[in-house]
Amino acid sequence: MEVSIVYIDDVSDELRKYESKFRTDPRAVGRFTIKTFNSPKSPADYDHIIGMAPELLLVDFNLDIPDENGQVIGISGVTLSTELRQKFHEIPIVLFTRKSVFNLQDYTKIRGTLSSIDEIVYKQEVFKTDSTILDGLYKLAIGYRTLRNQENRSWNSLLKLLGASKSDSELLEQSNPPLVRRQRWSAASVASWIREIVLEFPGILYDALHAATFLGVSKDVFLSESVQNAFAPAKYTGIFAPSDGRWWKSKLQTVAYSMMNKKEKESLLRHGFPAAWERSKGISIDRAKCVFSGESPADWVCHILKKPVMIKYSLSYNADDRPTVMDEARVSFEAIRTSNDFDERLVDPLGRELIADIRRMPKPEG
Amino acid sequence: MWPEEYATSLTFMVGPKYMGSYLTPGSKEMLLERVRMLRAQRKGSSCWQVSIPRESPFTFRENSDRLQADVTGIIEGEGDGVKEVRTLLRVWSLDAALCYRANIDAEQVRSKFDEMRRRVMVRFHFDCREKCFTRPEPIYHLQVGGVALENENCWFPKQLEIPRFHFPPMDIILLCELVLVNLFPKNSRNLREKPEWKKLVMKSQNAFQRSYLDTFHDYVRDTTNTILGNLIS
Repeated sequence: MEVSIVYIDDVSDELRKYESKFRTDPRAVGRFTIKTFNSPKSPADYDHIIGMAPELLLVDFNLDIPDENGQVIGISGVTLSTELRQKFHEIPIVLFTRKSVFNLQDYTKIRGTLSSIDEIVYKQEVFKTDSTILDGLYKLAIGYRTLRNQENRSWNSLLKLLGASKSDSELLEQSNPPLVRRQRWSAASVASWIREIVLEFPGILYDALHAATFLGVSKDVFLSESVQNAFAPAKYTGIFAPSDGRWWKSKLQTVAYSMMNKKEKESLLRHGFPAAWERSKGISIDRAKCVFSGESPADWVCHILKKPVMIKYSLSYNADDRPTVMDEARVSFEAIRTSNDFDERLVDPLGRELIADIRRMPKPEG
Repeated sequence: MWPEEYATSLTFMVGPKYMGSYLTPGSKEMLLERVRMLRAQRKGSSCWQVSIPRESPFTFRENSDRLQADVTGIIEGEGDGVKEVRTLLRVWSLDAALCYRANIDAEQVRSKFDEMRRRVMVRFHFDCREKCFTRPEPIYHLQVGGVALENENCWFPKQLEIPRFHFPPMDIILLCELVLVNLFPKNSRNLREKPEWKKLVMKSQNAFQRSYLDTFHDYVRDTTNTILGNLIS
């Protein structure tokens, strides 16, 4: 299943360079076909791009160099993306740029306002030996293709593409999907909801760290072959499934419960599951350990340090605008004390009153 | 200013990160309306009041045993001080099997339950002593029962407005903690572990219970009178 790329840039050398790379890199061959276009200047140019039948648009950010006729497009790649989105509702648009001209950190702060862009990719990173960006671009395009090919655009058809159970469907409905029941959805808005909300924020789906902490074990234990095999039914295999894996929280619980005896079920999952695993396998396993106190099993994940933490050693952190159905973002006392990324302004007023004490308090012994 | 601080605490308490998911629709809005009234009162006078009428109680959602609690009451103060706290915690049952015993209870109890779909099973008054009291009672006390409204479908005879246990004052936030611990012990564990929640509860402890408990502490050490003797005098 090859994906047809149209790459738009204002520098002919760049167009040639990346066209060549896409045509020769073994990771791209057989997955992508590429056509190039020097930035559009007239309505006819847009028609020409439509005629190229793209399935993935790569758009350069800096478009201020005149073409061979001396014409300049006069807008940035971000603005061009908005223009393109109006004409391509069903095609992923990726800003294809350089670190020196586009700061990704600034982008994350204004992501909501750049809704026409699906992804931002640094050109220099794409063809590096250990890069997985080509995989990501391919999955993005294939995901869009799946959405595009859906004739039935109902809420239920979307749930089917996600592989959601009934209880998960109810939660998904509370996560601000870009449609109400029985209305039709569009590929771009649904893709953005799945990738930037459902897969991004922990709550309905968990990444490996959140899944491990939910089960009370360390991330290494969770990613071990035997545990992965046991929890294979909980793995998310729906549309846009990321390569680092996501697991349905509800199914993690169901699978874990199926291994637990009556006594283990009476305790909290993060206590009961590790005990059940140790009992059935006859081995001891590492628990999720609090980054601040060393206590285990920890019951949350620090938003900044990306480590397990006990709720009692964390504060609510308003780092993003995730739907309330998702797990609350919390920051560990450890991050408050040690991380330069900690921003006091993002803590609730109640929590802010505690910060001075948190910085002074002796570290508990785990 | 304490009343302003209390208004802030109540606003946070009903937010989605704290009590939001434990409340029935409308309870949050009702309390926020009361908070706005509290803030408005402060502008004209040093006296202030937060009241939750029994007609529109602050209601928790039902728990897994089909029990539902609600809180009503009145809290009065002047300046930064709390003058009186009178709150009522009612526990309703929504389960017919718990509300009515066939062949024992009157048929009217059953028909009323069928009509209302719930019944008050137990009521707790966290009261303070009347200004003109006729019987000995602690300044702050707990009384089980009391005068029920018609729709509560329960009856506690007036003669049973005793005993009155000495008990510290309980405001809305302290009662929320009590309800969480008793009606939602497992589900509310994460919330009760949060430092911000503890801070919220501790603020209420300081404002409503500290002075009472300090006095209580003195009475424990009093060698001339009993604790209850001191509290009713």
